[in-house]
Amino acid sequence: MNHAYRLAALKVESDLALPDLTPWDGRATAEADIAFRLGAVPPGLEAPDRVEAIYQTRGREEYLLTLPGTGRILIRHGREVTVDVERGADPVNTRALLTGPIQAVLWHQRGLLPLHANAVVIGGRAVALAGNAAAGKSALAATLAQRGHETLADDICVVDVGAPGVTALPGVARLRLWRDTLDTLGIAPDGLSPALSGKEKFFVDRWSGCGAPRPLAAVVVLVRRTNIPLAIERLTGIAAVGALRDMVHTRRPASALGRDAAIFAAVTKMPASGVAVWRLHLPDDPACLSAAADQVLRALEQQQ
Amino acid sequence: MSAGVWWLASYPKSGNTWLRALLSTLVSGKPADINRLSLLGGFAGSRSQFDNALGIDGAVLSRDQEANLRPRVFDIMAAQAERALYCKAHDAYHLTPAGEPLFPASATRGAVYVVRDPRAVAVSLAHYMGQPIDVAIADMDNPEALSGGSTRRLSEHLRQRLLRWSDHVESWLGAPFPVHLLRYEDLQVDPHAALGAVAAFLGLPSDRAAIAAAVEAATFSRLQAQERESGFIEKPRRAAAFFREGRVDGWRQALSPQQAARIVAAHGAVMRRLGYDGTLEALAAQERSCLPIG
Repeated sequence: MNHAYRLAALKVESDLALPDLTPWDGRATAEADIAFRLGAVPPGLEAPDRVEAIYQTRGREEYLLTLPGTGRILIRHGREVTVDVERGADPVNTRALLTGPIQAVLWHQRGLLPLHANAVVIGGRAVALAGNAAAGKSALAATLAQRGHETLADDICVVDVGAPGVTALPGVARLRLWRDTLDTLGIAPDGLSPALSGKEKFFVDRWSGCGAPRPLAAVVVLVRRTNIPLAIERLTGIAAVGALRDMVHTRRPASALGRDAAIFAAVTKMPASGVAVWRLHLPDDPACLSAAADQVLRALEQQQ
Repeated sequence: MSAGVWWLASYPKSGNTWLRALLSTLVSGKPADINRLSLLGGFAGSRSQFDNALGIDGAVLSRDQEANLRPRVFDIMAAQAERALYCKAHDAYHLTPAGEPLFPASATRGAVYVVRDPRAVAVSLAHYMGQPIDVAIADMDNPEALSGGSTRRLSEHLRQRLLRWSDHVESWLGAPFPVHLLRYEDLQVDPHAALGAVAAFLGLPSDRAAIAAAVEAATFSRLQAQERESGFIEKPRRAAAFFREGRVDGWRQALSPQQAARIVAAHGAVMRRLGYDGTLEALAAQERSCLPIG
């Protein structure tokens, strides 16, 4: 193992460099909670329960992803990730896969709830900005970061509903921003490291915080469309629960891993424990980001 | 009705939305709502559909990986559907980099291919993209032409290969499953007959009353009014309005003779095959005299 990182207060050891993650700053002798290893992965699981187009599962404990052009990745027990990389696979995209969907499956196996969300810190508490791909999560997080609200997690916000309250754990704290967003925010891409190959997405480090778990105050679900007015509305009851369930990261693999009942229990507990759920209607226009940040901050003030 | 996907395929700006509005009334029995057309069966180029079906973030894949996995998305959609899906598609019918048809026969029941005079498409495309008409004409003659898939932002639209306009038409008309050809101009001149034929092809209600209700709910002026009142989620930011003119021969004022000639020079063979030559004169005259909409 060449590399050690911190992710959600856990120690991650890895054969591969994962520069998305924060370097490990704890005891050097601490045992790893999660290990990424390079090694051979069989083409299929033994007696799988589910066989889908690109993945298989067995119980909650095993998930095998087969991705031509990248290779095979096996996740076991929420602890061991074995990566069998194809010759010629792009290392930057492989890394993004490991810290993206593979990370989410790890959390499902570990019994935590990964939301498809950025997490920012507002008034000492975490706020998750949730949304499907292309909803504008990172762009809104960066807009809030420019106003001093540090980033707790990019793209995956891990929620722990096991404690008395509901907690958001620190995740990948390096924001990954697209070129259009950088232009909108007035950030030059010169010198930024690429977060993907063949695409103009870059790491931006300037807003990462100290990475401590925070009580989760709210989840703001972003719905981005062209030609809609900017608006924010509070969701309650079944609407809030449904909106949260739709924002669970890698939901279909999670279902294959037998997580449906636990996910339902978690998303039901969140509003009941005081997590406010908002829906932000976000016009597909970068010029609206600043006004959207205003609306989110105002809504959170009213909530308190 | 058994499941499977009917593709509602067209080059962009050829009347696909109008067809979906008409079909949505036929399928649901309720007047078309332009902001809920995806209920018919979605959009082949949708990123969220791709991510949800495969259980992975497509953004971390290379372009070739994304393209090679798209047929699996359609297989999954077809397998999970409880009724037939009517799914909008702008990609040409072509092979993925791995050599497999993008639209797999296993998921497909057939296609309605909507075609429109490329001279009118060029004008509409220019408005839609907020670009000069000459750029639209060049795009329509570019074998590498794409829709979606920007590298500067994560778009809700996946990268879709359009090919040249002529090649797009020929790719779909040569697809190895039943394809019903629908001319936009025929839909304008006699919407009841044109929609009746589509409904019969798709196995949807095609009696006179059902067709009349669908046509009535989706007149151009009604769609325009819906866009004015509640907006249209499929309108790009650059365009002033999606339902703009909807005329058969508006291109005659908008294109210079040189621009029209360039389109004919590039696509003349397919235009003639589709009747986009002398017969258009008669069509346009007929439209002016009897068109109830526009």
